[in-house]
Amino acid sequence: MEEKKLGLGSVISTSVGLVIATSCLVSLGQGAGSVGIVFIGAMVVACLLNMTTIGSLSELNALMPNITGGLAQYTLACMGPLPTIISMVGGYLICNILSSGVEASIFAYAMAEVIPLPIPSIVYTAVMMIVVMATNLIGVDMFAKVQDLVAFLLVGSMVLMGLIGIFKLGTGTVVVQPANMASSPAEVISMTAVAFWLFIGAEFAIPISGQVKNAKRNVPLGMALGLLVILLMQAIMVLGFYHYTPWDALAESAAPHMLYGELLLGKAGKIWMAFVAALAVISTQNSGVNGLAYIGQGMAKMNMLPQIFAKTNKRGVPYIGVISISAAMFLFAYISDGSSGMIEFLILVGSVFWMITYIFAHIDVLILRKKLPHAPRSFKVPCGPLFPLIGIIGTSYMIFYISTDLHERLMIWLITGVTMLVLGIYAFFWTKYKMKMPVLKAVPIEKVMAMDNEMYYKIRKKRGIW
Amino acid sequence: MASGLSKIEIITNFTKFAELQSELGHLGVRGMTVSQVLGCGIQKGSAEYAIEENEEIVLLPKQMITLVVETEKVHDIVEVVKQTLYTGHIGDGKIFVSSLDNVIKVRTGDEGVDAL
Repeated sequence: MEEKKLGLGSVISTSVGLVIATSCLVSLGQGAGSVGIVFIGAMVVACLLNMTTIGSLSELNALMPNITGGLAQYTLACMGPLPTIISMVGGYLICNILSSGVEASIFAYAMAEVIPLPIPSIVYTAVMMIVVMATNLIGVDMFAKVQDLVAFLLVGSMVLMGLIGIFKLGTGTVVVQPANMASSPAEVISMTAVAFWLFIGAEFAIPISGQVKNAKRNVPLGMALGLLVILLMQAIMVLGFYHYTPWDALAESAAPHMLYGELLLGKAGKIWMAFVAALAVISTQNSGVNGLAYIGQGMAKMNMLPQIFAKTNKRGVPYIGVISISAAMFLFAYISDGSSGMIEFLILVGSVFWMITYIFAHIDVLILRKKLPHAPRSFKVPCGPLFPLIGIIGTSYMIFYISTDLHERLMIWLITGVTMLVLGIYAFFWTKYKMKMPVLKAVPIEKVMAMDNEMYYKIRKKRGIW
Repeated sequence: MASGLSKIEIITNFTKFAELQSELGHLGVRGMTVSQVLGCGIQKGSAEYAIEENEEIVLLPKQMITLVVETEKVHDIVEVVKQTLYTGHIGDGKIFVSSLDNVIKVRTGDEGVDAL
């Protein structure tokens, strides 16, 4: 029997891993800069909304535990291959490869700013990506060790910098300003759309659930604790901003976290914040490469991606996925080097797909409660359909307010529609001719479970069915 | 004759036994009998990934865990057994619950709940 290698700490660090990216530090600063410390209220609402998603995904994971990658299989068993391919390829693979690429290029700039060496900034990205890729190829336990360390340093640094600000221990000038900048409660509520980004991605712990000890308890608990750690840490940072960074400067800054570091501790604070941003990128890349490789492996096992993505090395790592995802992220880091505006727009489009997968997860829960009402669930979201319904409504609201700029919002929806159409055509032909399945018919759960076994394809290939 | 006792028979594969044993211990189950058996369910012993069902019945090695417990504990025990054995895959097992007329402990001659 395969030994379970990971504990609760690794689930928390993986959950924290993808969520805290540099872009989150920017959103945090800009959100707080707009409404003051009441932004914490918006953060609480956004955190609770993400908790409903974590709850639904945990219930799905309890129904289909130990399945490779997870996520794709839940929708396959509830809605069929077409919605699964559209949402997973658009929401997870493309969106995260794009966003991790942009994050990696931000890392390069941060490093180039801190280290005064005549090296092209992309070299820093390349070195970081190679290290992350090699770490992931060694195995899930090495991934987790790196992730634990990075998450600990990241969270520790941010909490410490926040506390220095709260207790006015910084070397900079203390700012006297109103705590609340919002003119009405509605303004705070509208900021939940910004705050939502601070918590998205905790479900990347699900692909490692097969390697987690006592996964029934540790996976849902770890993801929930991960979100709470993020909430606490970011609330401390907002309170720190209050004493050292003028709200308007924070809102207007392109890198508000660096501004806070500088105003708090001068040059040393800026370097420390650059270090924090670098850790955030490494953490995002590490979680992204690991999670996406396992999601890809799971999709390949379901024949939703080429079989090559299911191949594993002797340590059980889907190495083709790890290498190709790392290479794709590096490619986008290279492309976005200096032209990140367009890619950031595309990330927003990808994020709509990501949020659609969240809505699908809530719908999956409701469908499976109908289909398998008596199946033992080691975790079940309480209060019947209430929380999945809140999740569906809340996430739809986030999609609706994806951007504060109306023109950009309409463009996002338009591009989302076109991308969905293109992905839909691809998914239709792939399902029809490669998977040889009805495109919109849910696959029975026992068949989804069987497809996870590598013998499923071996014996079919032997018989000439594949 | 109502003895207030019930028999729970659990047929499952070998992979979850250690965890199940530990969980039953935590629930205060004081005795169990474990037998290695051969059997199959409605799939006639076909593997989960098989293309078609076996024509002939194939008996697979399983284990049967027999427990005799107070009837009021049956619900809790069955819930824990279900949660522990569940993987979602074919072959997770079956649980049979039946009422028992009496239990007699040979060494002391105790009967019913006292005999457990």
